[in-house]
Amino acid sequence: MDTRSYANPIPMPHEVSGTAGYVTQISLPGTQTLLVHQLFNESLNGIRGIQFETHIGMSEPALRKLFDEVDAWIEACEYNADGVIVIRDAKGLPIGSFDRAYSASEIRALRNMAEVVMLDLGQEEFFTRTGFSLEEAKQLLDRLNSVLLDPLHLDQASQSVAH
Amino acid sequence: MNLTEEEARKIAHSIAFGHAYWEHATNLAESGELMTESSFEALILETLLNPEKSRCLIANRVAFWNATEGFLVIFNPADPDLGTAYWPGKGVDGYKKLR
Repeated sequence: MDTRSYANPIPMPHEVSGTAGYVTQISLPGTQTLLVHQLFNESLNGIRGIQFETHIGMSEPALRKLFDEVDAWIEACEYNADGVIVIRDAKGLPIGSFDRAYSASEIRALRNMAEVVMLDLGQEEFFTRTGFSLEEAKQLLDRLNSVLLDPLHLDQASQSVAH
Repeated sequence: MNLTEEEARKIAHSIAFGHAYWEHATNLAESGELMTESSFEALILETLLNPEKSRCLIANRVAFWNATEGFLVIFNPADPDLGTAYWPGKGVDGYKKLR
């Protein structure tokens, strides 16, 4: 059966000169990791018709490999009654973040994936299918965009010739 | 989660006559198979009452999987339509990986 498919192509992202070898450590709080998991699931298993190379900038097998890492982490989690992740170390203390070094192209794919899922599911379906609000997804999107722009050191004061 | 028939009928009607029909069921018309809102409602009801699998998700949602039709219903009491129903692209994996 055919159902709605992704019909809003996003331009193929391009490698930015000077960022190809850029790798950065990302630490996602447990709940945000769960949001990323939901986005992976929707893009890989839920939404129909996504052209991975074109829309996300990464092949489906490569994206699924990233998903498998997050999925394994999520599978190992405990959840409290409110659905909030609780992870405990050997001493029973909560550990709450997923840490991994990502390349610029991987972060860009995660960013594109989040955007594709947000646009496809929209206001009417995003919360029902992921359990998260679009605002929470936008915060993740903003964070990924911020990481991608890290090499520009925008947080440091710079002189301008414009007045 | 076990629903009474009355609860299931209410949810099925709300989903079938909500956004999900236009988002997911009307595309069938392009292949020559037109699914009416009533037949969409019947499929949702059958899935709610006799799912092959079902389980609670985060944020008070519940997923119901219809293996025969490769069809997924998500009941979300916070949604004005009470949820959605669709055919996940990768079938049961779209159900199994839901959290």
